Amino acid sequence: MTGRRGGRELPKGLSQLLRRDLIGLKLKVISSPCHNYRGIGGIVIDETKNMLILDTEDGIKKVPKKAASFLIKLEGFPPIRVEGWRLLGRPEEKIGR
Amino acid sequence: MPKTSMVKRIARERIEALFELAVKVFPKNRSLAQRYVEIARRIGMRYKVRLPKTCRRLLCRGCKGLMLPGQNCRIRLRSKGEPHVVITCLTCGRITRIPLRAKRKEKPSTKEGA
Repeated sequence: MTGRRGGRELPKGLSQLLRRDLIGLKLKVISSPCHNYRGIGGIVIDETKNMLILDTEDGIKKVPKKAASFLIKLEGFPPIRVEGWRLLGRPEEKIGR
Repeated sequence: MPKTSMVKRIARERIEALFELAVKVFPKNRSLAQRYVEIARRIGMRYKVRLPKTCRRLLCRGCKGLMLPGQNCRIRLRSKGEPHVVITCLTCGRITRIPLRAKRKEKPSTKEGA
């Protein structure tokens, strides 16, 4: 649904990543219009349509996905930068995309 | 839209991964574990994938809660009548019975001693 926005093609493999579970992934917020969100990093423990819930060192934090961009750290891969709007959607609805 | 078979395969993988995660976080945070089970069940319903048997055994049929042996469910073997396993959910008290029937051997081409 959101795949066409911006007109940019997804790098190979990234579309598979987006269909994956975000829950359990390590990621970091690298940009957001609100500076309080910048630099927060941790493990995704839950996900709603518009928010990511991160378990960080300073406790559990909720970050809106839409305006932020994230650095996803997968084991064995270099970190990948993903725009937040690509991650929108409920976890149970994202498989078919 | 990818092929249905592929979607179902991914769905199945994610259900299993979520259940694994749920079992892992259960001792620390029961409500989070329950949330993972909830997501897994929703994925199953949305993409018409049955929960794998290993996952179904971990769920209470009454309250849909995660049941872990020794933590919040009781497992007993009963041999009276038809031998079966009884699983009692200690959260809601619902009991699930699983009959222990010897698995039928693969159908022989000719009936032997039936």
